[in-house]
Amino acid sequence: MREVLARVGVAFCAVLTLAVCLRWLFHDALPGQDHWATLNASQTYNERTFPSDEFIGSGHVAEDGRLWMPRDATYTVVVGGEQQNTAWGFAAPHFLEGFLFPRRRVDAGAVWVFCLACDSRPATVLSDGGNGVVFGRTTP
Amino acid sequence: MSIHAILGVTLYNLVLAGMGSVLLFALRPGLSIPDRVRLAGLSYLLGVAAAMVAFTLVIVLGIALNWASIVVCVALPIAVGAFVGRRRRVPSRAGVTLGLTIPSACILGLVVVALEAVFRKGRLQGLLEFDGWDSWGPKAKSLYFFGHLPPHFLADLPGGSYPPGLPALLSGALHATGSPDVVTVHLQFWFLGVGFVAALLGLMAGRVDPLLLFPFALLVFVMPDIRSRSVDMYGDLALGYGVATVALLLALWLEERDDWLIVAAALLAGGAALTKREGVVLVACVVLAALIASVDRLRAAWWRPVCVLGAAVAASILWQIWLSAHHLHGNGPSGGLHFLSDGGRAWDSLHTVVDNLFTFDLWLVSLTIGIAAVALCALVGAWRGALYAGSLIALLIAGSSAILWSDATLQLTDVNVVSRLAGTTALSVVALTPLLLQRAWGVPRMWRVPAWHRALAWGAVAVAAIAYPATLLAHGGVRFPKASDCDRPGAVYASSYPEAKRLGNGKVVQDGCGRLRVEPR
Repeated sequence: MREVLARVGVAFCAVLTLAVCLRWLFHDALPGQDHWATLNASQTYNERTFPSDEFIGSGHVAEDGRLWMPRDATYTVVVGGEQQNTAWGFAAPHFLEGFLFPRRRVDAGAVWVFCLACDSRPATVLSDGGNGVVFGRTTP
Repeated sequence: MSIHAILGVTLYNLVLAGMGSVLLFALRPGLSIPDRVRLAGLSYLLGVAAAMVAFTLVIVLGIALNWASIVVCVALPIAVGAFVGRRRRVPSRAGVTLGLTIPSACILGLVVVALEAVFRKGRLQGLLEFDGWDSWGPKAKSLYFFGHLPPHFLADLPGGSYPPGLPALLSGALHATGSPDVVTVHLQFWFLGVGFVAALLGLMAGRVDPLLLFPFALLVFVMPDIRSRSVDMYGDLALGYGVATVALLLALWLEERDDWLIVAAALLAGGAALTKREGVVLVACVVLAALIASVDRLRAAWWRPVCVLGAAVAASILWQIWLSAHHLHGNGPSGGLHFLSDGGRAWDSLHTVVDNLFTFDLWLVSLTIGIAAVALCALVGAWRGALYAGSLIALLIAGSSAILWSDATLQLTDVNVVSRLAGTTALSVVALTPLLLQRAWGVPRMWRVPAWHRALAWGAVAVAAIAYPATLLAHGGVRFPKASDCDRPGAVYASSYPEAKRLGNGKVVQDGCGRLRVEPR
């Protein structure tokens, strides 16, 4: 009797799992993956590369930084006091570091500077995001 | 993003599978060719784990992780594995097949389609996941460009003390694409998923009826939370695949007491510990469950599961040595043991994890069916399986809760964070459930099907595999983005501002494809 009961239970579990899988495969998984695949394929280089400016400061300025600096350059990222506890303070420097490799981020003394709402802008501003994020050189 | 990059990642993963296959040959020299094919998924996961261990060793020894060292890391285990395998060689036995029939082939065809759909998503996925661009991606790119992880770079990086197994694996994939292509490298996570599903199918073929097994293989990438994170650059799924496979290998060891299963589990446990720091805790939960299920023969058997935990701890210590040598804080909870005094958070963490795992919109029926399977095993007296799976579920829930409890920076209200952590439990349950159901049912029925039926069944799988992409292709060709997508007739392009200035003094603007366009004034 136990064996029969167990087999009924096993069959029920297998059928239920299969039914749920089929329902969700066609209702959610395939349409969901299709949606993301279509979205990913339609994205531009910029959309695929830069998260929201809310997190990283400015994708436009980051791209300008990459296009200005030679591959062996060093740069600093200066974040203004008011932004220290926001995403610009705790996340943007890491994004810039990963995005700009093999250029190296240093704490101070670099010619190239990213300024995220910082107090003193670089002497030569090469890119301005219009939201307080600028990139430039400390030398004229 | 090019076809060459995709082929590069594919070749890289085939090499890892090849390395794992040789390691499996060393463990089980008597396997027939069909058995090796059947266990290709496990071989791949073994190759990935071995690569993670070898790459981490290279980093810890201060050797640059570049093309040359990657080749040595792959070639050395292959040479050792081949040598050991040949020394231990025994006549091969007849192989076990999947036992495919037309109904089960239809389900397998859907598994293939689900995996193809994940591939489509991953192929052009940008590096937009927070942890991806904030931590995993920069680490992988640092290893790609410099071959090492500078301590000052890790010091203020989120998850900087996390072990380097996954970033090292990704840096190898970047080398294979031929560029720091952080888009195509998302396919690495697809390969890990395929390897996991293939490992489940291979390990349980012959032990579980295909009609019981395949729905759970399908469930893996149908579970909404796995579906949505399937190719995201996070360590959680990679960790989940590793721990769940360790759980399955130990379940098989409890039944068959074959020592190769322990060695394979130990290697995967080492890989799991090098994927994320919580890997050691989750492996400890699996090992403890195996010890509980071995209670009647503990004196003779205890050290084998403990070896699996030992491998995970050793791998973790390996990285800890590097962290200590570079004066970086370790892998433990950021606030030390102060969390122990916060009993309220412990209860809330447990409640949050249990609540998450039983949320249908995240994990469908996986936990419910898993618990039902435990009960059915208990009903027929298959107490070892029931005890193992029951304690595994309880311990993994407790372990996940403890991880949440210990890190006050993890918000319990953040479903994303909790789901990523709980995923290992869900995957482990999905991996074990078919085996439990089979034990509750009785001896698996081996379908003796004529050759024409077998051919028709495999034909059905092939049709599903071809029909899905063919249907999509009929609606439009495959797109491979490239810089020339932004070309405008007559415009001049430069790859940097200094080059643009040399080309003339026109207006210089970003072209939106990673270059500069020089427009006449």
